[in-house]
Amino acid sequence: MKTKIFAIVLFIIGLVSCSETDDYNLTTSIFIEDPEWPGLPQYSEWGYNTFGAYIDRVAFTSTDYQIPGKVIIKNDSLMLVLKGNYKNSEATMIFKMVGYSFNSYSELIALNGDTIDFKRDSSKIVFNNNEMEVIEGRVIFKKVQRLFVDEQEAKCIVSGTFQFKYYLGVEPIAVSQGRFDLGIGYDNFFNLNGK
Amino acid sequence: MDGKIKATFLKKFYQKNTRYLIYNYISENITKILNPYYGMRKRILSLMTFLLLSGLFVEAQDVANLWKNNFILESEMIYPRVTLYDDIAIRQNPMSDSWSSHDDGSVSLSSMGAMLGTRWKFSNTTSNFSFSFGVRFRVFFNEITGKSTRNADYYYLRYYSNNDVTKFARTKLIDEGLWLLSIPVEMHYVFWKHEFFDVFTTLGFEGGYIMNRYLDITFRDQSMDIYKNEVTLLLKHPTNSLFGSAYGTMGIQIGNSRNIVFELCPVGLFFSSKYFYLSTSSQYSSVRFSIHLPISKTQQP
Repeated sequence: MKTKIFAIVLFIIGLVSCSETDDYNLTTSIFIEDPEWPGLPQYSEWGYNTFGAYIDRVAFTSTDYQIPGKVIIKNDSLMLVLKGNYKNSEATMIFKMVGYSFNSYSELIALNGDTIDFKRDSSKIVFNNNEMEVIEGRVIFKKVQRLFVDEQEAKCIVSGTFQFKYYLGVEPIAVSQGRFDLGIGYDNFFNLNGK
Repeated sequence: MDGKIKATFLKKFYQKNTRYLIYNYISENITKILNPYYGMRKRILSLMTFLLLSGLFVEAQDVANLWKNNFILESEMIYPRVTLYDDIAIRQNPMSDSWSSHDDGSVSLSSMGAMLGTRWKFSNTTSNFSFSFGVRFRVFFNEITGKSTRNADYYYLRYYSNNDVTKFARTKLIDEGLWLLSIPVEMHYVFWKHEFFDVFTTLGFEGGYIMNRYLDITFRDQSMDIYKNEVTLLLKHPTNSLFGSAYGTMGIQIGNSRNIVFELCPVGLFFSSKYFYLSTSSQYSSVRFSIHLPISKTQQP
């Protein structure tokens, strides 16, 4: 009798676990190297949690041990934070875009197909806490889609590309072949309005 | 029947049958040799003719025993080389060249088959050639298994995608199976005869029909079973029901009667690449084991 009750309890716990949609396995990074651009991940729309770009031919890419991307909403602005490795050191690149305010990660699909021009739109780029003096450039949200796992909403997959040029002192620097494929969910979406 | 016509008929009948012709001629010569009233020169000539034709007669007897028959029971393991269809969307595609995940997930596609069959083999005793034909029952199984991370027991199958929404199903296993009946025709040649074994090579062709097939998905979450038909339909690709293949093997025959046979087929070719729902396959390898049961030699009527 005790064995049967224990088995039933285990079964119920199992059912609860199976219905969990915040799937840890979707937060892991899957890095598939681009054969045409060594060191960078292939462009994908699977929510592989990777990004990469060349900064004057040196790769700036996501790592396995850090959350590669976060979306922060504050004061009618959206900040896309990319955290990874550049020249064997931790580095962070932030795209600040004005005019976007979302209450939840599901609403990010409004970005689907959008192109943000860093010169024309009121947008900024910050790299390692230094605001960049942008010459030209843009970020394209090629595909933003709501992800359902076993018919339950789990994340929002945000995929796109970016490239821009900026001044580092008097020297112009190019950031090229930028791409990102991020799964944005409860653990990396922050709405800080009113907080 | 008129005597002359009868003689002509018999003559033509015997002429058609070499053995009877030779036998008849020998009989005539024996009669002449034993006839004391037959001249000496003619008796010597008949004796020489008798000896020559006797040799031919014995050879005619050997011609009748030229073929040896064997009944064969065989089994085979077959390993198709498969390529997953591009539109089967699995996160961590098993056909990707390389990828790394710090949680050591892996997804793979595997394919194998088996065969049971019988053949009738005709072996030429004066040469090393033989040929055989028979009937075979074949089954094939393909599976996509894996895990998204080291501790997971499933992978993600994308079964729906539009501009705004993508749907994954946590999947433990996708598997398909098919079975077919086929008729093989083979030619064999023994090119090395050793004291304890013979080594031979085979060229074969096989044609058949796929009798039945299935495709099934095992989801991680049983609540997804209501979508099984919808998801299965997405995975089913057009297939060819007519089966055909061509192959070459190298084999070894052992045993006193050379009745235990092992064969290796390094490359076999499918006539169509579309026998499976999940993948295409044009080539295969196989390993075969068979037992050859000798049947009595062909007798002279």
